[in-house]
Amino acid sequence: MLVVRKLAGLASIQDRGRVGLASHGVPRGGALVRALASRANAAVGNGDDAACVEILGRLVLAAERDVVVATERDDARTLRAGDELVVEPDPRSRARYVAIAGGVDAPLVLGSRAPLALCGIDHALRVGDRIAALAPAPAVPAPRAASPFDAKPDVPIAIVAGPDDPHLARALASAPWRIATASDRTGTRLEGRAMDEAGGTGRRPSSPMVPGAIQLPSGGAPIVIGPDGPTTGGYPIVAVVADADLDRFCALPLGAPVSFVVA
Amino acid sequence: MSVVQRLGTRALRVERPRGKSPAALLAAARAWPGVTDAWLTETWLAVETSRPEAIDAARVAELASLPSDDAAPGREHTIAVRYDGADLAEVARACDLSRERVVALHAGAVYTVLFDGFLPGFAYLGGLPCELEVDRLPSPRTRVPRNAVAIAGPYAGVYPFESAGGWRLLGTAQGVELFERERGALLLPGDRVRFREVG
Repeated sequence: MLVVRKLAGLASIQDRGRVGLASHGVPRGGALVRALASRANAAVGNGDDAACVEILGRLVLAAERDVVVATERDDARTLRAGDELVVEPDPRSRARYVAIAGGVDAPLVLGSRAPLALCGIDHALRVGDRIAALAPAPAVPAPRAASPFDAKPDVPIAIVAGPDDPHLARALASAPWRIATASDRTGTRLEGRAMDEAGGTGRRPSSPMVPGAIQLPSGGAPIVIGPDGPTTGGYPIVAVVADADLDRFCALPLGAPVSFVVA
Repeated sequence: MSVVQRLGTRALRVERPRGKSPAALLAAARAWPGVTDAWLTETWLAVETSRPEAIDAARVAELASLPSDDAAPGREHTIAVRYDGADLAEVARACDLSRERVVALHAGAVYTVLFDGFLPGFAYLGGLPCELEVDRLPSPRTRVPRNAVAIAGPYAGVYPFESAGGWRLLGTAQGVELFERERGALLLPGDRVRFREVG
């Protein structure tokens, strides 16, 4: 059992999200950087579907009794009652993760323990909240293999052009961008030279959206749909981040430079 | 334009065949190899899939043999509405109709759920009488109340949750949960919806 002592920014309970409910208008949700959540879970012996804590900011947790924890960057360790775990922002990653052996307990709604804030299902953490394990865990959990993840900050993010205005994907790839600080889990905003040929009037019929879809509103500043983004939207999709690079993109810290290459 | 359009490496969209049962379209798409989700907009059928290459023009062509919307209609819902919306008078003025006529037209139509989107459980309803077509607000409200009954362009809808929104508000749905934690959206593609005025 852990208790939230201090929090700056957003911390929430996340898992792999809700699969198969887009026809209900339900976003996928789940961890922003799936591979890092997987890594933290694997270190304490959890499966990839276990819920863990995602931190976009800084979090201090205190153990109320012995608990086995890991972050995405270190091995499992036992916190004794009274011990603190301080999760500082990582200058190389927008999101950090804390897993506890057995997985974090939170209400299971439509197949996931992740928040669905639009519907009032809000698992954002506040100071004083308690975080309990779902299942009793072995004292010394066996670590499991995690999904590979390499941030490779200098390697451009691969995008697939289109389906709307696919020629604009090349324009997107020809310019340097920066991750705007106004980004959130709904969408990552890109700052740079606004694209001249922005086609989005907002009057076109709604079309299907997916995480990683790069929307181009009429103002010319692209928005990349995040895990909490809508399932439909009215702006043109000029490109979609290749799934193999989506974690790398979502891990880019706010303010970081980013460039794209058309796959 | 290709029949099958890639949405990155794990999803694609195809033109939604007109007049087909939405439930049948979704069921057919969910049965395609590798598909983990399928959803609709008014003009597209989208799938999330681990095997995009398995979905080709031939497979899409099979959708033409699915039953029509009329042959396989969805569930029927009647939603009680108190016509107390903040934009009712403005809509009447813009459409050059009396308030009573706006209510009679809105409550007299039979709507079909075209697709869900924008918010969980927010159903875009087709079938709005053309006399009631109005533009969205020039600037969206920051707060639309839960269960607000609204119209915009050719659509009608009901806000399942309090949210921001630019549709014109005609009234408030009574005694209905548009999204439930156990089963998701109440109104799903293909369902028929009627509104009934209550005092």
